[in-house]
Amino acid sequence: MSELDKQFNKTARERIVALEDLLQTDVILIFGPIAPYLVRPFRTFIENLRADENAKEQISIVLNTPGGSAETVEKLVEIVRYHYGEVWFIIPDEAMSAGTIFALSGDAIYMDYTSSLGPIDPQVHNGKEWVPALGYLDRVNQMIDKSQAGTLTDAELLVLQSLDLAMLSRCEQAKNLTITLLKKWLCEYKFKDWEVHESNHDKLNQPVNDEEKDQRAEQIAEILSNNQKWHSHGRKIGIKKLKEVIKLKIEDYSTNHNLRTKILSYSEFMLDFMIQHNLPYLLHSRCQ
Amino acid sequence: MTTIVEDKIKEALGKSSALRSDDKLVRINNLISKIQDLEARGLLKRQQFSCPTTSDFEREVLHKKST
Repeated sequence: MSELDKQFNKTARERIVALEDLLQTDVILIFGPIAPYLVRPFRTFIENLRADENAKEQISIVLNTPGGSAETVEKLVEIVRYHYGEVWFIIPDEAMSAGTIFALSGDAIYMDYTSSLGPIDPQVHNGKEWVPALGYLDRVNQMIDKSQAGTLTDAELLVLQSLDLAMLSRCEQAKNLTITLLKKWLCEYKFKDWEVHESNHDKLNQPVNDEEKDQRAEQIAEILSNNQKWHSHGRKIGIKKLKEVIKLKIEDYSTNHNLRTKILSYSEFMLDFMIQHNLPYLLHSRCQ
Repeated sequence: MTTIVEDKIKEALGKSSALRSDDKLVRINNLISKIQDLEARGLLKRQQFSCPTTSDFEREVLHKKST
């Protein structure tokens, strides 16, 4: 190991341990796309951390990702929940798309005024770029409506007959999967301590029942997967919109100087390292 | 097993086809055959879509890493 690598490891460890001491949880860092190749190293990574004599029952995940596949998120959540009862997410920059789904599986989400989550509608590739699958489904639904009204043109009938049904079904299934996962995780973790209504003026301070939690989770999933609302899959949804429009409870560390400094000094340092070494992804814990 | 969107499309196709004369349907089907023939001969290219479920991200990211 070179002197430079030793120095990097020492600084990275100092900074992650400082964050762990402050939060009183284990801390890990996940940077990069959430792709299937992440699952195996992530399993080993979490098992090594859990085997450490200083392992705690709670974990904080510092997450910075452009997104990836919902199926991979499901596996990562299974792995992390097998080992930890309480999971917090810290978003120093952004957790887009599948990263948003991952963050919403947490018991708490920490963000500051610069952090973003993103829409969760599935994307398809047209050979050149990623486009919203639901935009494609919207156009198909418009033709179906016209068919029911008896106004479908010959050209549209021709298009409808030539559609790739298998691909359309996959788009639909992808949307259903994200909604199903979000509903399950929000009710099980994020809403577990939600006992009374806090923002609904008609029900203020009244107890929240399971059905209401279920409805709220579905609403959040529907809003975040509504491609017509967000216009672009790359739209950054900041803390203000998450709180006011989606009514999600977010722990805001914008004014917590000590916590913010520790989060940024660690995440910026790791991000610089990742960029300099052109790494496709980065997993880090104090055990490395 | 079919999905909701597949069922809806099949229903819409049935409904719209029923509103057209046999002659018109034959002409539409002939046109589809011609399009498929042009596609098969590489003279017409249909825009393809694919879902990024598994290997797409790996290919994209790992390729980027190696270049």
